[in-house]
Amino acid sequence: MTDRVAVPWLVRLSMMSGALGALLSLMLFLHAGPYTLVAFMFVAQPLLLAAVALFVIQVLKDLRRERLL
Amino acid sequence: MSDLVLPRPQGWIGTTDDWARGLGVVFVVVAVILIVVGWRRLRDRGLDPPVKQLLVIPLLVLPPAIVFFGYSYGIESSKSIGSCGSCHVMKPFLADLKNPASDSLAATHYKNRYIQEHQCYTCHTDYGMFGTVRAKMEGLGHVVRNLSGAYSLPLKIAHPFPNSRCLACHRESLKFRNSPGHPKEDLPKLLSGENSCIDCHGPAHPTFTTLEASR
Repeated sequence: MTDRVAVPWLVRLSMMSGALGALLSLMLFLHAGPYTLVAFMFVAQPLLLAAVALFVIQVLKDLRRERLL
Repeated sequence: MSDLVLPRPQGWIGTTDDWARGLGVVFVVVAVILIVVGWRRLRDRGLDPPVKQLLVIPLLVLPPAIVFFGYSYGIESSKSIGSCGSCHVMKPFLADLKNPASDSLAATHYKNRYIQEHQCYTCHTDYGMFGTVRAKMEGLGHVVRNLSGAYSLPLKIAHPFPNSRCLACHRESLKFRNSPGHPKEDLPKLLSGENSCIDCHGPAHPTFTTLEASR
């Protein structure tokens, strides 16, 4: 039995958000149309932005904890 | 018309759209693979420096690139008549546009290639940045109404069609300037919108009271 390591929820959320945003973007690249464009502009983009923001917040938290900032 | 396929120019490496699409797909696939790999490593090792470095690529570097190429490809492809005609309610209009026997204003512009490409978008977008932004916002409304079925037939244009969309192309042409139908003294009325181009040159599209034409 392996012990699960605690993973910061910010990173988990960032990864889920990034993966979902990327997959929604893939729909647009594979089939461009009104629906996929709306999904990209109003769902995928905010998700990708959230992925970046959450990851940056986690990195800043780590840097502060290590007293590097 | 579609049987005339032009040969590619020498050294052809695709259009900007082709590249935006291709790079977009590659970046999405790479991002998803790295996220999956990162997720597995996170479970086993936690957020150690190598995992953090791995995640920098899919969570920091690739998202802006995906957004950039998504915008580039998505916005450009949304201008095509195929995109406009992909909603069921628009199909009769697209069929009329491509009908060689149709003498509607839209079909005349299409079959004679008075507008080279993006024919729907060209006539239904105001000029300048805000015209483009407004067209996109109205397009979102169209998608919502098409999805919800909140529209009634026959479709009517939401606002009076502005002459500026016609005059942007026609005002400098000799055919327009020398036409007896456009006397100089009437030009201010055309420019102000008091007289509509469509009043004399319409209808722009046939009136469809049902969607039968699309079947």
